[in-house]
Amino acid sequence: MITAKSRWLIILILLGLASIYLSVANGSIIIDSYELFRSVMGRGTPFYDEIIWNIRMPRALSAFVTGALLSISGAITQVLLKNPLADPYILGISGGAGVVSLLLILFGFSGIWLNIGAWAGSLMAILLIFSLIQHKNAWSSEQVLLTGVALASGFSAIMSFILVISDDHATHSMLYWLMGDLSDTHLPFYEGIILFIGLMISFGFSKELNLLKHGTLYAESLGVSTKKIYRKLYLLCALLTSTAVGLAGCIGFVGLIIPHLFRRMISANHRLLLPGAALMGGIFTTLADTLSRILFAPLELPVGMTMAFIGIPLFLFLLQKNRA
Amino acid sequence: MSLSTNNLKIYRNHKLLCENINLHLLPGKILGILGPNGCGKTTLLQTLAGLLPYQGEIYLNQQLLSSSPSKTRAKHIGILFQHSTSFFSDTVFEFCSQGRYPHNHYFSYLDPIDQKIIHDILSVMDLLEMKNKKVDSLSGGEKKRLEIATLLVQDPQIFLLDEPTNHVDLYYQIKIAKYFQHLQSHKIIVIATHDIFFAEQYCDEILMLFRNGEHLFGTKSEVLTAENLSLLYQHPMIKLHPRGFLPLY
Repeated sequence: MITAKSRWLIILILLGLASIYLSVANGSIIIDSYELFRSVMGRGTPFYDEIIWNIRMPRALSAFVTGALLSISGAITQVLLKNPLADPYILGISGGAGVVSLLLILFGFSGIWLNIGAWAGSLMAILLIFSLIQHKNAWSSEQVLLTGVALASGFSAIMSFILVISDDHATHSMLYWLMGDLSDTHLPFYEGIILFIGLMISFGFSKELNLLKHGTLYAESLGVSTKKIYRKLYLLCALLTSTAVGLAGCIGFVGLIIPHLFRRMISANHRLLLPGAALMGGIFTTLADTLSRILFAPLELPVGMTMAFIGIPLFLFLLQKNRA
Repeated sequence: MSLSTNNLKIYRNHKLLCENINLHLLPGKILGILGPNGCGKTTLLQTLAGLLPYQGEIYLNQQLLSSSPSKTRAKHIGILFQHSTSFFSDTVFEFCSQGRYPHNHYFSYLDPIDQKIIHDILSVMDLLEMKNKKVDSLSGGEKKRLEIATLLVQDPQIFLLDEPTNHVDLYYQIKIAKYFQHLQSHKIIVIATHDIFFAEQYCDEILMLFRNGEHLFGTKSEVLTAENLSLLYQHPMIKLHPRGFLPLY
């Protein structure tokens, strides 16, 4: 059962490498595969090395890692909330990150401070949800969902307020941050480690997730201690999402759609879904970012927008096809 | 192997449904639970499965049920739910294989023995040809058979069945009943049902839960009388000879 479908994972790994290659090779200067190969082997010219290692590679890898983080988080969130419309941002995790980041931009901070701020903000948001839920000792998905949605609206109101009181220059960077911005990134080393660890941990829970998607009581009846697992998985989602938000701002859409695409095209079994959606999300975000850079060069489009332009028709097409 | 309760009180949404339930269940006898809607049949089954809060004591093999870890409990007690909810569809085989969860270690997946168990049970329930179909494409009766198959794959010592014959056609109603009858010598089986003919035919002991919170427990011949059934369903009944009951219209 697994082996036939796990061929897809190999295909996706190859596509992932191809997407990173495409992203690194394309841009204002097109780098051919020979130069790229030399540079990867450590024998490149300083000119190409500079472009590849300081500009293109950080960006391609950041896009890939962001997409992968959000897709895993989305796949888990949809099971935890028992809601196919859930995405990693629905619980206000991104809202918390947004508020802190916008405040930092308002006070003139930039660069690494924004990553740290986003991270702290998302963790603050999830802890706030935890404390509100814990109080009633109710892990029902509606309770969590409604609490999260309410908090998210609150955060969004605060963000609007910050946007209103900021000057034009700050507003521009804030808007780009809100739409998802990969133009100012570094090599995502720590983020990559978090992705790897997160994938391993969530993969360890794949059997439990397979049961949880049929309902809490059902999973409990087959021996899953749901309360403990819920808390761990929510924390894991918060960690993954906040890492992605810290890296690239609010990139919408990928965390919602990619898990569905994988479920429809290949399998809803989390042993395949978690690594598969991670790869798929990574490929998708990398390609969308590449297009954002080159379509209207030198103007850069926000990556979230490009993603929606390609992804939505594709997703609607698949929805129609599966129904027929 | 035994499942017993001592002064068990069951609750739904913090409201007391039934108290002083004292059961002592052993293999060899099928217990039927009868009662009107909302009297607590489902709540009692889910409480016995350790899924709901309760007062009093439930003992699984002379040990407090609440003290056993979830996975151990799931190896001993399996429950068939009345309704199922699923948000993202599996294939029939994947769904059924999840019944092996309590028997698997943390990292292990299905070994050849598990595969064989799943294969055999699917063929008993005539679901083998559909094993690669998506669950949400099945009919109501097929889905019920799949859930029963999953429960059989779980292979517990104690089966708690909440209306197992709902949505199932007569052929499979009998097939399923016969299958559990054949298991009863070494398994504890509890069935909640609205079907008094089914209870008459297959159960050995009967627990009646009345709307006012009282209950009646005893062997079939003691409890399943026209008089009790008339009280239970608040509708006159007569006994047809040699067996069976008929509601009067």
